[in-house]
Amino acid sequence: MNAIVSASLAMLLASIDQVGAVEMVTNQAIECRLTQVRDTTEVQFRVSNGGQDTWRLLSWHTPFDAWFSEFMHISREGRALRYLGALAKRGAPAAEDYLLLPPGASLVADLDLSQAYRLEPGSYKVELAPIVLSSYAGDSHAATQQLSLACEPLLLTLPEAGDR
Amino acid sequence: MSKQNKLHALAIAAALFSTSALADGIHASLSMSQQDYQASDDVIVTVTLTNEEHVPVKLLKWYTAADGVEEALFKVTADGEPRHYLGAHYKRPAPTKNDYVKLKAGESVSYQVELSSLYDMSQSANYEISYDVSSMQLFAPNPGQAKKLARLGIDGIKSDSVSFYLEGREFKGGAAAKGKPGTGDGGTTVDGVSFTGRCSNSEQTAILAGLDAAKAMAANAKGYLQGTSTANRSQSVRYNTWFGNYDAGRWDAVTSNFVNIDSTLNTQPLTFDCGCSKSYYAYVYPNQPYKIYMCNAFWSAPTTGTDSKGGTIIHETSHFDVVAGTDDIVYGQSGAKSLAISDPSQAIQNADSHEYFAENTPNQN
Ligand SMILES: [Zn+2]
Repeated sequence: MNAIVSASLAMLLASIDQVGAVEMVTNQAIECRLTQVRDTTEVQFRVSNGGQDTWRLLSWHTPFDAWFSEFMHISREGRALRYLGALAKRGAPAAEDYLLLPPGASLVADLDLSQAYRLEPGSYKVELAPIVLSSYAGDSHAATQQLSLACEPLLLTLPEAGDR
Repeated sequence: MSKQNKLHALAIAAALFSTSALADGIHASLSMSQQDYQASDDVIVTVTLTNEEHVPVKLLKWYTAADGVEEALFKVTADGEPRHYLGAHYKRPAPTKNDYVKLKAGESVSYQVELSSLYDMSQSANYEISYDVSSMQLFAPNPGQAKKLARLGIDGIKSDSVSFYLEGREFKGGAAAKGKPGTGDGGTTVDGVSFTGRCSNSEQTAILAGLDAAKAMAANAKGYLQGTSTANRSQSVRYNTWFGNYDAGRWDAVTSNFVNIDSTLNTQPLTFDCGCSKSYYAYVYPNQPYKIYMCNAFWSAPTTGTDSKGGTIIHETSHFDVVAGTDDIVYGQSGAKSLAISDPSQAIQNADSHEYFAENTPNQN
């Protein structure tokens, strides 16, 4: 895991409400996927809840925060690409900074990577900072469980203009 | 553009008017009150959506400008060349009931949108715009309605285009602004500091007070780091709190960062933009010095002290690649303190750590 991705995880864990004991869990029912829109610089991120419980996530440092933080790491032949998006300073998260993921629901973000990275034809590895979710039982209840969801890196291939 | 502009736009006299119907679905029309826009004019277009169905239709708000423009809702060309949408692209959770607006049969709704804060209109040219929205989720997921619209082939709303001549102007939007660093053209300049994004007088005053505080903090931080004798450095509570255990190489790196921050604030052409309305304090593009975008939390921050205007300017300045190239590794005082303990080499690359060291609140030696 590279520095940016692990640092983002540290940020997310640090920014989560520390009130009460929170148990780190794993949950097979929560899945995330990053997919390329055929031959383009556009990708779709999807996190889905196939379980019975409602989860909540802080949008910061996730694809739902594009492009106000470096939540992604793109490399080509092991060399990191520079992130060209914005970095924002924030205060404490407000209610609207959280996204709810009820049972059976998915959250989807469509991103155009060319808005934040300089991409040329070729193959790239796209990695996301892990997504941290907290159990959610209503605004007046503290989270009791947390899970850190690592998504499979995406192999992004951009053909030469003539190949398209 | 916000909700209060909704509907009263109907009163605007339309010098230009174009319409287009899409089967018997939602009919979109655009109108503008001028045919010529000078660089100082807002470019306001009124979008009117009319439900020509015989049944109520629910439209996804995100695509209607009901709550401001959060998507590329228009096709814009300048002398025939497409112009990019530079405004916000928002995160999209699955829509909920509240994300739809209901239009009764025959009902219309109008919104006003200011285009030059959303599209690149830097070129003087003949512009042509049309409303063009397509999305499978544009209409509420009401099974009956979805089937009917699918049968009619309706999966989007388009209007005819309207044309106007426009004198080029600097882009004044927030999120994706590609402002020319440091030049501030199109804005105003006070004491060598440029303002873009329509900073009001009181905002300019607040920024200049914050900048003075930032300069004082940077000078103090630099003086402290350079002035503490080598023998005393490992006892520095101030350094230890924000950057962790003493290490000669890391102390020098932080010193060099503050030397750069101090000289940047005093000698480089800074630009402050007031066009952001997000909840953040501020943001920058690290590879685009020396432009800082001020957001809502900045205006209510104190001038000095923790998370102050002065500290925010230190934080943002430290992000520029040519200054210190810091990242946002953790946010907030408790996060920064923990990072100093757990990972000093990351702490010296963290923007908030620099900010808190410079703010030095409460005071530590
Ligand atoms: Zn920052």
